[in-house]
Amino acid sequence: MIASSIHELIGNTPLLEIPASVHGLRNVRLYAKLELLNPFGSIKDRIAKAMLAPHRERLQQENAVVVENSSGNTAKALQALCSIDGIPFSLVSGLTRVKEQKDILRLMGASIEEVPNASDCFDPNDPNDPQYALERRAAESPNQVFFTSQFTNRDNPRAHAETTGIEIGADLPRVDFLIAGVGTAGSSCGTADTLRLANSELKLIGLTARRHDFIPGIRSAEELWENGVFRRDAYHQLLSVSSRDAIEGMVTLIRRCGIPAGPSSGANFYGAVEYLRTIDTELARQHTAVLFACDRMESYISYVKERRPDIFGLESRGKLWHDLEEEEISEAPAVNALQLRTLIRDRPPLIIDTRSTVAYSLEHLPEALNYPLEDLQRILQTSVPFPRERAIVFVCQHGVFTRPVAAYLAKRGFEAFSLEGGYRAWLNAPEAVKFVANT
Amino acid sequence: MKCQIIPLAGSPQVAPLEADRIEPLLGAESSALLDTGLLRQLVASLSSPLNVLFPERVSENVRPFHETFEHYGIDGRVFLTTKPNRSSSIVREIACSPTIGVDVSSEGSLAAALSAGVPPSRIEATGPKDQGYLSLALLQGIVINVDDIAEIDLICALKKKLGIAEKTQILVRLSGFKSPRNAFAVSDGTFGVSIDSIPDLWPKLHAHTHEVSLLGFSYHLNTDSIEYRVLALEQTLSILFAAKQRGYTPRVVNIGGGFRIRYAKNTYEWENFIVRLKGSITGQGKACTWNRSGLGFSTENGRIKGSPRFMDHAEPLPPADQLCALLRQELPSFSAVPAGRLLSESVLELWIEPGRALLDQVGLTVAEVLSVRRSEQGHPLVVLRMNRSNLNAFELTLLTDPILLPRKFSAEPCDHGYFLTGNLCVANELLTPRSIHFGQRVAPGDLIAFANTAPYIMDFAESPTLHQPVARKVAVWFREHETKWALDEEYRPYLKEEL
Repeated sequence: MIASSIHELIGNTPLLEIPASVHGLRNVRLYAKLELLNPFGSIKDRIAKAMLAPHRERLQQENAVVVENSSGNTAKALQALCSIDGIPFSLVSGLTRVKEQKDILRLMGASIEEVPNASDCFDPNDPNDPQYALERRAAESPNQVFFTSQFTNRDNPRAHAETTGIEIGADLPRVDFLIAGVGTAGSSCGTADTLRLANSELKLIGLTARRHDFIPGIRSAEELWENGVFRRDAYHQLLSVSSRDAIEGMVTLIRRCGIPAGPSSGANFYGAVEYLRTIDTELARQHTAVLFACDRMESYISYVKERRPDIFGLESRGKLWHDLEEEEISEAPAVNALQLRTLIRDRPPLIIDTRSTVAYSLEHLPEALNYPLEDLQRILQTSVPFPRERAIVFVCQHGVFTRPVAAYLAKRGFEAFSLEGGYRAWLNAPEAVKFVANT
Repeated sequence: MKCQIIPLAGSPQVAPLEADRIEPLLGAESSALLDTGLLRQLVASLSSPLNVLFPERVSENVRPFHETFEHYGIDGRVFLTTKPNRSSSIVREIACSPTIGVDVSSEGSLAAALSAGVPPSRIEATGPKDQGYLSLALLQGIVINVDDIAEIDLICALKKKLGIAEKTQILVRLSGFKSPRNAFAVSDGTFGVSIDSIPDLWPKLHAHTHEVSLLGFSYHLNTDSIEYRVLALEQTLSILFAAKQRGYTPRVVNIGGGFRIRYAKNTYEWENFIVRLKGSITGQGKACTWNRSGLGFSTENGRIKGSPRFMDHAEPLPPADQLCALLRQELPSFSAVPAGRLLSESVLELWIEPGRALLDQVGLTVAEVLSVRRSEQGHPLVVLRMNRSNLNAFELTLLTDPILLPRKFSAEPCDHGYFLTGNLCVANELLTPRSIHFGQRVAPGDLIAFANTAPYIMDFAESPTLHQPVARKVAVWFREHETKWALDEEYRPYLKEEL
C-alpha cells in the first residue's frame, strides 16, 4: 500500500473481537475498535483532520496560528497535521498531567502554554481557564488565530458520524451497545448517531471518571456540562470508572488481548464488561457491543507507575541492615559535633554525607564526600569501599538514617560513627566548633 | 422556565422539586451538642442567632500536620490565619497550645493575639502594614513577613525611632512565580515581592544588615494546582539557596495555607447536586435552586460558563494529606528529589498558615424559626431569626443541609422542601439557595443549626449597620459526659481545669 499523504492513513481501523474467555459474557460479542492504530496513535487523529480540513488553505495563506485546549492526543494530531502544512500550532492547556505526553509534544515541535488550574479562592474572572482564554484570543484576532475548539466544534462529532460510525456499520450489521469514555463526547455522540440509523435501539453507555480521580481523556460527570458537544439524552446511561479500574482494564487488554492500549481504553473495557455483565443473563439473543481502544500505552508509564508501582517492581527493595536488632541500631556508635571537631583536628576521619546529591551540593560539612543513602546501600551490598584504618563519620539530616549504617559497619569491624543530630546539629553548633574544623 | 409551584403536603398535584440532600459532615463535638438540650437553653438566654465554638477542636486539627512534618523529618510550624475570626476563645486556646502560632494581619488582630496571651515568639505579622501595626510588631520582636522591599526601609526607620536595637527577623513574601518549563497565563495578584525584583532585595538587605536578619521566604498561592505549588516551592528554594550563597542564613520556607476542607458527608450527594445544578441551568433538568440560580454558572449556547460561588464541599483529601501530596512531589530543578526530602536534608523549617483547615468543625450557627409561610409563587418558606450576614464568607455559599431541632418531638412527616429565609427586610433574603428537605414539618420555635460555620462563614459579613443582632458566641467543651460552656469572651482555657 502506498499513501501519498499521512492524511490518507487516518481512520479505517479494524475491529478486533475480544475473546469470551477474557470478558466472560455469554450473550454478547464484544469488539474493540483499534483507534490506537491511527498514525499519531489515537482516535483524535480523526477529529484533528476534520477540524482542520475546511480551513487548511486559508490558514496557509493567511499564516494564522492554530490553537487548541488539549493536553494530549488532540494536540499531538493537530501538531503533526499542522507542521506538515507549515501552519504554526500552539497548545494552551491546564497543566499536562501526563508527563510523557508533554515531552512527546515538545519532540513534535509544539509550543506549549500551560495554565494553572482554576483558582480555589473565589475568582469569577479567572484568566487561566484555557477554553475561555482561547475563545477570547480567537475573537480578538479572528484572522490570525484559529481555535479548533474540540469541545464545541461540530466537526468533532461529524468526523465520527462520517468515518468511525460508517466504518463500524460496514463491519457489523447491527450494534446493540456502544461503550465509550466521554471526554469531548464527540466520538460517542457522533458514532452513535450513525449506528442508530441501522439500529434505533442502540444503547450508548457513556463512561465518566470518578470525581477528583483522573483518567486521561475522560471527564467526570459534572465536567460534561461545560462541553458543547455533550448531549445528555444521547446516552442510555452514564457510569463512572476509577483510575484503578481503568488501569486494571488496560492491563487486561495489553496482556490478554495483545492490544497495547492506554488507560482510557482500559476504562472502556472495564466499564463495558461491568455494564454488560449486569444485563448479560437477561438477553434473549446474541448481542453485539463495540468499545473504543482509543490510544496507546507508551505515554502512560509514569501515570501507571504512580498508581501501581507494584507493576514495575517498585517498593519492594529490601534493606541491607534488616537483620540488625532495634537495640543495635539505637546503640550505634555516634559522635557529636564537638567530638567530630576533635576527631577532625587529631586524626581526620572520612566524612560521608548520605543526603541526596542536591542537598549535599547546596551545603555540606568541610571535606565531606557524598554517598546518597540509596547508592550507599547498593554499594554495600557488594563491597565496602572504606578503609578499616580510618574513622568514618556518616552524616544525614538529623542523625537518624545514619545510625543503622554505622551499626552495620561497626558490626563488621569498621570504626564507623553516625553524627549525632546530623547536619542540623552541625549547623546549630557554635561557630567556634565549626571554625576549628574548617581550618 | 419559572420555578414550579409546590403545594404543601397533602395535595400532590404538582411534582415537587427533585428531592436532594447534602448531608453535612458533623464533628463529634457538634453531634454531641446537638444531642443535648443545652442548645435550646443557650438560644433562649442569649438569643438567636447564636454561634457555638469548640475551641479545643483546633488542637486536634493541627495534629495531623505535625504528624506529616514528623513523617518527613521536617521541622515544621503551624500558624492559624486569624483575619476572618472574631472569636477570642480560639486565640486563647492557641495561647495555651505550644504547637500552634498565630498569623496576624492588622494592628487589631496583633493586639488581640497578644492580649489573648499568645507569646510574641509564636506570632508572625503579614499583610499590608501601616506604621501603627509595624511599630507594635517591632516592639514585640515579632517575625515580620515583608510584603514589599520598601517595607524594609520603613522597618529600619521605625526601629530607629523606637530605639529598638535587636535585629528584626524578616520573611520576604514572594510572588509572580514563572516557570522555565511552562508558560503560565499568570493572573495578577496584589501581594508580595515579585521574584523579578529579587536583584533589588540583596543591596537592601546588605544596607540594613545590622537591623534586619533574613529568616526566610514565604508565599501564598490562590491555586489548587499541584504543579504550580511545586513551581513556587522550587523557585522559593532557589532564592533561599541563593541567599545562603550570599552569606545570609535563611532557614524558613513559609508556604502559606490554602488547605481545603470537606463540608458534605457523602460525596455522591454532592456530585448529584452539581450534576443536577448544571443540568438545570442548561435546561436539561428540573430546577434545584431558588429562582433557578446558577450560583455563579450561566449558559451560553447550551454550554455552562462561569465559576461557582461556592467551594468544593466534598474535598477527598484531608488537609494534612494535601500537604503530604506536595511534599511527595519531585522537584525538577533539584534533580527530582522529592520536596519533603530536600526540606529535611537541607534542615529548613517549613511553616504553614492554614485558616479553614484549623477551624474545621470548630463551629455551629443556630437560629430560631420565626414563622413558616409561602413565597409569592407558593414555595414553602421558613423564616429564621437571623440573616444572611450571619452566614457569609465573601459571597461563598454554604450548601450543606442545615439540621432541624424541633421544639416538639411529635413532628409530622413532610415530603416537601423549604427555602430558608432571614429577617432582613429585602427581597430574596435567602439563607440557602437550595430547598431543604427536613423530612418533617417545621414549626415556629424550632431551631435550625448550620454545621461547620467557623471556617470563615460566621464572621466575615456581620455588621451593626443592619440594626439586627450580631450573633453572640459561646465556647463549648466536654468533660466526662458533661457539656460545659462559657461566653466566648469569658473563655479562658487555663481556668477550665482546677490545679
